[in-house]
Amino acid sequence: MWMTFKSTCARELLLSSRKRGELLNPLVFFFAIMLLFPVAVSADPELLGKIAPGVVWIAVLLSLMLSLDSMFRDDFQDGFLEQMLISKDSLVIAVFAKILCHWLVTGLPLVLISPVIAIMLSLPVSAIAVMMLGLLFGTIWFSFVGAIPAALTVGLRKGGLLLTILVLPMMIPMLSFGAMLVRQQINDEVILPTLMLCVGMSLLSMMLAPFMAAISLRISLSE
Amino acid sequence: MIFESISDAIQMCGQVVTPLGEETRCRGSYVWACYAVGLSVIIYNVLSPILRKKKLLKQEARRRLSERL
Amino acid sequence: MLNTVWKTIVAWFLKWGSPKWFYEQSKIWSLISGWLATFMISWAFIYGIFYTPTEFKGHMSRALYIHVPSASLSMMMYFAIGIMAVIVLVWKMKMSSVMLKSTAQVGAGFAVVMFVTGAIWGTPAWGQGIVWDPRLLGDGILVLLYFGILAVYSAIDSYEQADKTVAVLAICTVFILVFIKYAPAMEGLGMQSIHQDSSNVYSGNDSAIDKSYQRPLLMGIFGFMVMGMSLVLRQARVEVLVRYRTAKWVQAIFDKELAKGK
Repeated sequence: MWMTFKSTCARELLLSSRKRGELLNPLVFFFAIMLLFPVAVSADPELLGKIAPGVVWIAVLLSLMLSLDSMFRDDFQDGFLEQMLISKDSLVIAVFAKILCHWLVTGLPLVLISPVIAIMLSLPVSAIAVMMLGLLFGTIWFSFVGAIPAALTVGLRKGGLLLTILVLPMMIPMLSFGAMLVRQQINDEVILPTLMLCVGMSLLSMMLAPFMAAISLRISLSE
Repeated sequence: MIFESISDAIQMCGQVVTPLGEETRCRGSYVWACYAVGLSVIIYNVLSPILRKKKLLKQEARRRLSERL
Repeated sequence: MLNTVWKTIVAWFLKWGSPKWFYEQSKIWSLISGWLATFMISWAFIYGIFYTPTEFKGHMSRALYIHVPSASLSMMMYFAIGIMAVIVLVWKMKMSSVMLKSTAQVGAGFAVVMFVTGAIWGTPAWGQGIVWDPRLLGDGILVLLYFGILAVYSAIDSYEQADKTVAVLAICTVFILVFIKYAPAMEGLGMQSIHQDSSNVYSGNDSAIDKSYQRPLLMGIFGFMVMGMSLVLRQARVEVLVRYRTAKWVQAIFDKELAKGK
């Protein structure tokens, strides 16, 4: 079991280190969305500071959603997924490792550069640590839960838009709690219950989503 | 019946409690719009199986015709 | 004695798993429930629109008798979809996937009715059509989920794969109903709720609302349930014909229908 986990992780990380350009894409997209808001809404720092918690979360969600499509697609095209399915090693563990590595190379960098973006949107500095903490757990939820629709639509030729439609409603609960967390910190309210909820949700998704994603892979590759 | 006439029932004007005190407001358009939306969805749901079945029969007839040829 | 009765009921129920039996038997049920629903709903609507007093929030409360039944029907149907999804994945019954699709098709319409009538009601009552409180957020997600399911059906050609895809999605998302149900009680989490909590309409004497509102509302809710059954059965009957169109018994039905057409 541990061997499966280790070898899948090593393979995933090696693959993503070979195509550094693709790793940069979600970050660039994240930055691009950030630029849109001052242009389209207002350049007023006070107004931007008010909407910044939600804007950062929406931008993270959208950037991660774009990269979800590639989570299983490359492996599907070169036939690695089929090898995973027929191998005697546990599929759930392999899927877990794949999602975790996907989060490491897409979700974590977004969390790490989010303070830069938050300052650009004049979010109060006191809220940045809490925002990063919330985003850390939020991106885990986004990656793990998003893996289920990604696995379901992997075999479809035009899966991109369908994936977006299926993923969005599943993300809304985390989005609402995460943005609320930052707002509560700004307003000096108690943040612990909301933070605990975020942690719990992300742990729950790590526990259950690999099973559902493994079932989904079997379904979409059964054709 | 609560309403005195048909036009009364269509307009549905009555006392409404607002922050400024009691006022007469007409709610007919809102209420009837709700029922129009609801009934149109029900009618769509009633009609759609009939239309689907008709389409299916037409397809089947065409398939049989092409098989015979 | 009780054991034999139970066994007879189970045997009767399991017969409905066969598409042929379903097609032969469901016509009478859809007709009965359809006419029953017609009478119940028209009584509820007419009583609700023309005969309820106006003390409760003015005339706008007359929209209650379509908003609440369609909301409860669409939520119930999503719950039913969740149950049927488990059956599709675990026991792989043929009819459960047919019913899953038909229920989603019917439920999506009523989710839209719930949302649109709520927005129309909110316009005069809250001064703004949509006020984003947790209840409305949950309802919006429900509409999205229904249309996501319909999108899967239109995107995937293989029936079996589409059914299983929808089943996995439904199992993952059915928990949203808990969120919607308890949304007005979530103020402890810092969410202000503007949508009022559901009144207890079912209890007898100590009901939270007056008898004159309770009667048409209950009749509307149960009428919508019966109508939902009728509409789902009607959709499922066509769906059976579409899916098993190459089967012998379906071809026989086609023979009859096409001969009638000429």
